Amino acid sequence: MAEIDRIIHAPARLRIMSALMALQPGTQLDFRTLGRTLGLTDGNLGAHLQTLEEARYIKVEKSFVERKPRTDVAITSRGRTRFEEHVEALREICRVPNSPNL
Amino acid sequence: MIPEPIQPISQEEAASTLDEIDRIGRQMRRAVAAGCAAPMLILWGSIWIVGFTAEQFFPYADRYWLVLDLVGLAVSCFLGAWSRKSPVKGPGRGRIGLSWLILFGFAILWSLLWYPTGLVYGARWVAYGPLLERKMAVFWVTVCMFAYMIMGLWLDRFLLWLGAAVTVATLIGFALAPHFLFLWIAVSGGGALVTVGAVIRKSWR
Repeated sequence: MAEIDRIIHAPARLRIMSALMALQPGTQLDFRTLGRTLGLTDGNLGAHLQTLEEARYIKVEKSFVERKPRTDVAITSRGRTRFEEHVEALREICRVPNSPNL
Repeated sequence: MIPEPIQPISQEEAASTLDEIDRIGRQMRRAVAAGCAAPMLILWGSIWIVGFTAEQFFPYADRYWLVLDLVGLAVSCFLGAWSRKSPVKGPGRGRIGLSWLILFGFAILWSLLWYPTGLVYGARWVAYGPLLERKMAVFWVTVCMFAYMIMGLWLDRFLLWLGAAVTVATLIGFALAPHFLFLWIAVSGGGALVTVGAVIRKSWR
């Protein structure tokens, strides 16, 4: 039975993971675009990304493009699997209201 | 950071969270598509408007279509290179470009096989009449729209409906207004691409 993931469950992190899951595997997304699309401030986004990176759900890469710093974020295969399990657990709750998934 | 303890989740909360996941996924795919799809739609829609309008009123269509297609390809390559600075990096972008090249190669191959290239324009016109040009136009439009429909399955259903609508409009024009087919495609096909490109650019970011 799939379980709710405590790290992904927080609203901001759920939105970050949902956004990254929408991209094809191996695709990296710019930090600023992610923040702008989700309506998160740089500080807030950075803190949640750190939590997700520590859990190895995402990978963060820093580089320079035309002398400007750029941060790219991508979901890992582990993160993808955990997110899919999290979604499955939510679906189970919808199907069976009192399912023991926490 | 230590994750917060989870409160029990009700059926309603789970359903609304799943809706939120879908909404954000769609929003993200649209934001990404707006960066690369919108300029391409506007570019090729404009080329269709110019090319098909000219084809309606002037002969020697294959010559200026060659020029327009080369201009379109050059600008597309420029846009592709420019989009390296885009917010998205990954294998998907290259694959979309490569898919379009393979599709164009396939369509060009069949155009050459079908088209009587050995005849001069006047003789071709006498032998086949305007029907051949009309069929070729419908072929190219429907092939391109087929690609949009496939992309729509991956990116956003909006592109699927665009491809289907332009295909149907083109076939209706072919059946009901054959003498104004090129003008019809310029307006319905080219106009639709430019309009949708502008809408995507404005609202999907």
